[in-house]
Amino acid sequence: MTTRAANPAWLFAGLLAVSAVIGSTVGGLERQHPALIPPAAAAVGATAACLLACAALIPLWRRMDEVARAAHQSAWYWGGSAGSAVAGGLAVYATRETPAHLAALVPTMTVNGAFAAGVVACLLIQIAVYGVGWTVWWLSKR
Amino acid sequence: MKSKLRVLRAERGWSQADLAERLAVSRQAINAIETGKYTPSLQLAFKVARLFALPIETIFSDEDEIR
Repeated sequence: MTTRAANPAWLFAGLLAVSAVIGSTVGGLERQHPALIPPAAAAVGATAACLLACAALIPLWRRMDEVARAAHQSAWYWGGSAGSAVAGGLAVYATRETPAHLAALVPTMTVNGAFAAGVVACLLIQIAVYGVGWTVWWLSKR
Repeated sequence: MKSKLRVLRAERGWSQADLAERLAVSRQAINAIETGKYTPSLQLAFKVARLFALPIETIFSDEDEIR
């Protein structure tokens, strides 16, 4: 019998909840005191948090059976490839387009916002295609 | 990859969930193997063979061998 603590779904949900609490707390602090965390420290902190989340998910990965792992590996390939393809396309576009045209694409954004939006767009595409790839993989094995 | 997993399971009156529990995999994994849509690793194939006390080649065979 699997206990709640040992159940991968609960582990994942717990990790999401902890991440949400930490993220909203740090975000709230940042909003009240914008200069509280220097940009480089924020970047290192965010990267460290992502790596810690990956490490925390290792038990989930180890508990997964080989078929579920194969589904994630396939989804990872397609999601990662799609994200890279879009990032590559955007990078080529950004280097070839005139600054005025680029600025016109994001009229209400600052340079910081536009840069962050580009990165987040690549991440969202990776996640979306990952989800599609995962679903298609399982449907093909039914 | 063809397998006799469904037959062996049925002979014992086990559901896919029963077999999945005995092999510590998901029911979906058993279904994928039974329908020939997923080829199990050697490790899992040996585990299946031990569970049914049969040689691996009695349970699994490749498509060419069957034709």
